[in-house]
Amino acid sequence: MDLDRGLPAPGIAVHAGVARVSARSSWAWPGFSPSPPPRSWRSGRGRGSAGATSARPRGPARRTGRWPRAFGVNRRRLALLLAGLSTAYAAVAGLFIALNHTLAPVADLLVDRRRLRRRDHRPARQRLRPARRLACSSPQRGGDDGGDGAGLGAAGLLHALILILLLPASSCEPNAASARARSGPGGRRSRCALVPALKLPRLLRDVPVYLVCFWRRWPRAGTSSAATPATSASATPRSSGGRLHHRDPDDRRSASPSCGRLPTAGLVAALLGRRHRRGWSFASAACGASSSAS
Amino acid sequence: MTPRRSTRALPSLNLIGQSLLAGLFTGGLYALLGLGLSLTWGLLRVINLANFALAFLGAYLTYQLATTHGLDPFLTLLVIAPGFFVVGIGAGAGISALPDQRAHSLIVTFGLTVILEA
Repeated sequence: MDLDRGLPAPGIAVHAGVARVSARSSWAWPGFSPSPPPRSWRSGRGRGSAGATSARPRGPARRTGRWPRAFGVNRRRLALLLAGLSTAYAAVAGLFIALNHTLAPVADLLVDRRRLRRRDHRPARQRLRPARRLACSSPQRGGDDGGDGAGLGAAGLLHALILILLLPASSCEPNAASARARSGPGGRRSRCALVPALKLPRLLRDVPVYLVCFWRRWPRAGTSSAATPATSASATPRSSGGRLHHRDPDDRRSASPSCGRLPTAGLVAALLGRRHRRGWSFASAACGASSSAS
Repeated sequence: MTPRRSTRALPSLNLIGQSLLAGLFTGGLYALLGLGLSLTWGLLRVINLANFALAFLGAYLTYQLATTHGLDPFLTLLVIAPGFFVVGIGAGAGISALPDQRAHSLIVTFGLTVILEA
């Protein structure tokens, strides 16, 4: 099959070819580069010198190892330029080796390094799923989940909003009968059970939330009771320019336990449930605390 | 007893994309290394065994500049690539002064590799 391509027959002809290459080269070289280096590099002289003519290879090998004199470019400068360019290419290649792996510039966009330090290699799109690895403690897992990996970073704010909006001032009225009449029997407890069903976040996030609820509930209780004197028999609002801004201290004392009852219940529930006992355990604790306080 | 439903795991597009990019970048890395080798051998007839050692030296310099000085790794190219260009010119000038360039460049660049790796 080599006859079609004009190759010599195996055996003797191969040795003849090797001998031919060896005879042409002045030094022992395997032969895949048939041309010796240019004579100007070997002799250190210019190309036009007369003594280098005999060192020039003959035959087809002359075309491979020589550079044409193009555009009057200094050959040595061009060689140095190419040497520097090849080394600069190596430096550019070293940039990509220097990164942890060649994909690192792209992979960094998808990797949350804080989760990576926790050996949580999930991509960012799956963060709301519960983590399968729960062997470490909750401080190691970080504060961005509710302790069970549910991603409850905003649950504290949601909880506060529900406490403020969904529980109106009726729950803070001192008259329990009117509050019961507005919300129905067991309405407060059902709301208490509704809020912890959302899975409360951890204690350190709960305490400020409940402080906000205290702050939010306390003055509104006095204002709402003063604004509805019909429901409060002991309230004596004083009007100044059509605006109510003061009520009797005895009424405030009587209203304080009721308006602080629900946040207290939630705070007790958070204290009880700080060790991963969440969900409906909060609900039962909140209901129990609420009923005992009332 | 109901037979258990076999769930076929779909290939992750994220993983496929990362694999494609990994192949692309690895090929680019090898192309850069081969480009330097082909330049030095194909045009200069110099067997540059120190090319990979120079690449790793550039990698270490990049890492050092990025970690200690806080430079962006891509910005370190503005410093390292011209520096290596000058180094390459110096090495080329030294190698071109050798009498037998191919054989001696093999030995000289191998020694340079050993020095750099040491």
